Amino acid sequence: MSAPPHASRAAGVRIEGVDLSYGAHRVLKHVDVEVRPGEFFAFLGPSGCGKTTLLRLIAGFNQADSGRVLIGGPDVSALPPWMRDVGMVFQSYALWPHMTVQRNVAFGLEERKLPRREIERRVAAALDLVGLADLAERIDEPLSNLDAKLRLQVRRELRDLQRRLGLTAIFVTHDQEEANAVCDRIAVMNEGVVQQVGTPVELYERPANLFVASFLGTANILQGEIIGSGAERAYCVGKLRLPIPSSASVPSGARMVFRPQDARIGASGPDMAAVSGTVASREFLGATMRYVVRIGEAEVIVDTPFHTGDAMHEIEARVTLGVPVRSVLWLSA
Amino acid sequence: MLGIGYLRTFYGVTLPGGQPLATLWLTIVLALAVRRLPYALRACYAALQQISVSLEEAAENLGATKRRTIRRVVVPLMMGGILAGFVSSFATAAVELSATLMLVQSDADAPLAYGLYVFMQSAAGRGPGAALGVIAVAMVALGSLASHLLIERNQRAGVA
Repeated sequence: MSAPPHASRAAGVRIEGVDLSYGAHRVLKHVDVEVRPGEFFAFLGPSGCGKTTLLRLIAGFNQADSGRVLIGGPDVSALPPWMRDVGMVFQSYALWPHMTVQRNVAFGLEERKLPRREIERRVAAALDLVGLADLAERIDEPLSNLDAKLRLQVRRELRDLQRRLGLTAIFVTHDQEEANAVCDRIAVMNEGVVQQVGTPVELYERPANLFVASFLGTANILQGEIIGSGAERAYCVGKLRLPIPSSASVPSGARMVFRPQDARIGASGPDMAAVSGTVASREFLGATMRYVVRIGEAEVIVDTPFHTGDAMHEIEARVTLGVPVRSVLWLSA
Repeated sequence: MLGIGYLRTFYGVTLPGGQPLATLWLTIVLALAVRRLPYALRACYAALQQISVSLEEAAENLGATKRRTIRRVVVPLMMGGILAGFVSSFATAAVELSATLMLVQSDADAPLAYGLYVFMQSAAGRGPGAALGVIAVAMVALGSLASHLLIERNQRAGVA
C-alpha cells in the first residue's frame, strides 16, 4: 500500500455485473467493464448516464447493490475508500483551502506514515513534475480556471504523465473529442448501460448501435425500408436506394447510418448510390464546408474538405448526392 | 427553569466543606452552556454545511480514515464557525440573568449579569450599575461582531 505508484506494477480494474440504484432510480444496470493494467481508459456518455457513479464506485464512495469491483486481482467491494489505494481527481479539484499547495500534495503521503524527509522529497518531485515548484506555498490554487487552450495542454500532460508513470487511468468525460484524443479505449455509456467498449477508431467506424453512432462525431441516421430479398436486397430512403451487401447484417428496425465526410456531392461511381437532391443549407467550418442536402423528406449532412478557391454549391441548387455503399452501416437503437 | 431544576436537584448534595453542589461555579457554567447550546450548534452546523463533501472524500481517497478526515479536514475548516459560536455564546451567557440568579452563592463566582442585578438593588449602586450595563452592551455587540467576522472569513475560505 505504501509503495510508490511508479514502483508497483499498474493494476487492472474489473467491474463485474454491477447494479446500483438511488432509491427507485437505477443508475447502473448490470455493468461489466475491464480496464487493463497501464491503460488510459475513458467512461464517456451524456450527463446522468452513470459514468461518475461508476468512477465513485471504483474509488469506494458508492456501494453496488450487486456485482463486484476488482482492483489488481482481489475483490475490493467491501473495502472503505482509504484502503483502496486509488487516486481520484474531483471535478471541483477538492483542494483543501486551509492548507498550502505543499501540504495539499503531502497529505496522502502523511496519511501513509512515510518518513518526513521522504515526504518532502516526493512533494518537491511531484510539484516539479507539474511545474508548480515555485508555487508550493500558495494557498489559493492556480488551476481552477482552465480555459480551452489550457485544457488542451493539461490533456496532453495528463497523457504524458500517465505513460511516464505507467499508471492505469480512468477518465470520465462527456466530451468525445477529449476521450478520443487521450484514451486507449473508451466505454460509451447511456442510461446506466455500457453501450460499447473499444478504441476510439473502432467506436467511430463500427458503432454497435444508434446511440454510439450519434454520440461519437456526427452521423447521418436515415429511416427507410428494406426492399427485395437475397442478393437483390436494398435499403431505400425515398429515392435513395442502397444495395445491401450479402455479408452485411441488418437488424430489424434498422436505420441507415453514414458519416458526413463519406458522402459526396456531384460524385457517382460503381460503388456509390446516387440520388438527386437540393442544397438546404451551408455552413462554413474552416477546414470543411458542411452542406445539408434534402432528398425527399430526409436531410443528409455532407462534409466536404474546403480548399482555398473552391467553388461552392448555392442554396436551393440541384445536386447529385453520392453515398459509398461500403461506408454505410445498418444499426438499431 | 433550568436554574430551579439544578437548585432542587443539587442543593441537597453537599460538597466537602459544606457548600451545596448547586452553587458551585461549575453548575452555573453547565446551566448556561445548556441554554446556549442550540445557538452554538447552529453556528457549527452552518460551518459544517459550508464544507464541500468532495473535500472529505478527497481525504479518504488519499488514505485518511473517517476519524483522520474529521481531524485534518473537517475540524480545521469548521474552526471559524466553532469560534463564532463560542464567542457569541460567551457574550450572551455573560449577560444572562435568570439561571444565574438561582445558582450564584458567592460574589466571586458571579457573572456580569449578577453584578448588574446586585448594583441595581440600591440607590447608591445606580452609577456603577449603569457603567456595568454599558460594558455588558458593548460586550454583546463586540461578541456579535467578532462572530459575524469569523463566519464571513470562514465562508470565503470555504469557497476559495
